[in-house]
Amino acid sequence: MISRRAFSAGLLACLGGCATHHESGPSSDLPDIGAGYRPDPKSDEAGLWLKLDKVEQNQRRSPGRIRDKPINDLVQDMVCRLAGAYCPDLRPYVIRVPAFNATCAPNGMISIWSGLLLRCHSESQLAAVLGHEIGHYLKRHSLQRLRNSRELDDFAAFFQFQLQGPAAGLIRGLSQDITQASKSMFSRDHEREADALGLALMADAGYAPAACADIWRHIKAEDAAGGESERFDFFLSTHPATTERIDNLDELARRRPPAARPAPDRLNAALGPLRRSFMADEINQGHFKRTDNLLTRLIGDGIDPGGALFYRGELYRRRNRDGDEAIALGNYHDACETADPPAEAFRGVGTIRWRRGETELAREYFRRYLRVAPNADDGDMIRKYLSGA
Amino acid sequence: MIRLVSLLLLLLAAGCTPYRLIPAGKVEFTDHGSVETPIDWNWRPIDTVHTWTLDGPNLQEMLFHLGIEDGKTLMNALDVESGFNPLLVWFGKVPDEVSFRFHKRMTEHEIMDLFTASMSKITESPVVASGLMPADLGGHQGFRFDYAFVGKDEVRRRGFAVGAVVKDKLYLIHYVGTALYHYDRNRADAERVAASFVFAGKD
Repeated sequence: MISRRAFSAGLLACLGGCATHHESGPSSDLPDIGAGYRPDPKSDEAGLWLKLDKVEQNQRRSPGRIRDKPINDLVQDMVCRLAGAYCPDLRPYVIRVPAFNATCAPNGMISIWSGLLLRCHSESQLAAVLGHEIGHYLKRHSLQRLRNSRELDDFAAFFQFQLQGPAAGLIRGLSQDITQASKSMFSRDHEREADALGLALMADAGYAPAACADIWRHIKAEDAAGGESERFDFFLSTHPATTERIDNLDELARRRPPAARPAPDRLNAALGPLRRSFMADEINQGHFKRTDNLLTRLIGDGIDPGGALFYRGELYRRRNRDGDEAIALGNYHDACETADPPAEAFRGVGTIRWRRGETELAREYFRRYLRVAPNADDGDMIRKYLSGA
Repeated sequence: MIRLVSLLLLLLAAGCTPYRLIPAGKVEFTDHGSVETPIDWNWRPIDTVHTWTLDGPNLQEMLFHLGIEDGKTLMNALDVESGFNPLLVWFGKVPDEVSFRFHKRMTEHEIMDLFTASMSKITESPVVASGLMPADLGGHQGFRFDYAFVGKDEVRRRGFAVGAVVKDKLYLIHYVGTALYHYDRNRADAERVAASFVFAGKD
């Protein structure tokens, strides 16, 4: 099946490929990273860090970076609580991206997306995600995945090069599937390890370990609302199924001793008005059911109910199906009655009342809008409504 | 190799783009109206939108959304529901996506919101509008506002939009350019173009 010439050529190609790599090492059983660690400049790990240092340079000066001091101070403090001696090696960045995600690069750059912050109901839930990401850093998972991927690709290339005969195409396809499945399984094991380590780190730092499973329950509920229940693919999924993660995290949380004192919860104070801008970004994505699930949950849990009610109203008004305008109006009204109503909620009531021809009621709400936001930059337009034009 | 392929694709795309010179003077938009431009522009249609530029669409653009009908999106490409698989829809497996559509009874605030939501989809970046005020378009009472965003290329851009709803259709003209240079450089030209808009049949 394999000719001697083809075997020799494949071996040479493989060795040639190896010669271009920096000094490498094993893909598994690496020692944990040490505090203040810097990789050997000749190593493949140094090459990985160099690339990510460049990414971090861009991230540091990116206009998409959220520079708001309270939230940056909070996440920096949380990282230090969670990472202890590794605190100086880790640099968190808050980025305006309306999706549920955070990453930790092997060089210590942590990216926290605004969509994640919006979905965290408590500091403990944010600590669960940060702990998970720090777990990846401590265990050098990125380097392990890089090396594992290279080993598998080298092997597959060598193996496929030797294939001849009528079954070669079939075997080539099979080997690609096996390679992909191996990479995904390797990645899933890392996620499980980071989940367990993250929970230990956050619980040791005084956070509520039950929060780890809670945040995944939120995501599962959103996925289900959006018609995407349990997207798990044996060959492609780099993360375990959400249900498995929830079960594992619940079990690990149960094994922890009860906390000596209540967990800190400074998240809502630190996020302040940012949360409403994240809600605005969220509804701009055009995912109706998923966003409705999120906003309804925030309202139910008392997380900025004024903002969440207003944006839920916006969500329905924009969809504009039968009955949606009435739901929008109800949400705007409810938002107006909260302790911290967004000025735009009064304008929202005024706008719908105006369209319905309820002119006097509309004007009352436009006046309330201007009382709450006297310097509103759309004041001229509002005054046009008030003047009867 | 990747750079070479990218360059070839770029050249191919540029070759396919039907840019045409719009000389200074009167420009007619079939069935909708006309404008007077003090300078030359380069024109190309994107979807249902007339787009003009001087130095390239990433540097500055003037866009004309003319005669958007009730229930339609600002561009056809924004109508996500039209791309749904009819079989999935039949079985109730509708993707969780909604389009932002113009409705003839929308107020000025709602049209500004439609614009920012649509632009946020197009640019994949948060677009923020401000300064909504009454304005005139082609002799009809309308509105204008400013907007800004930082695109995926991390470049800050500014823009202004002028619009009106006439006979249940939305007419919206907007100009956008890099905040650092191009927006200011040709803003006055763009303002003159928008101010010169005349609806069809009003000559």
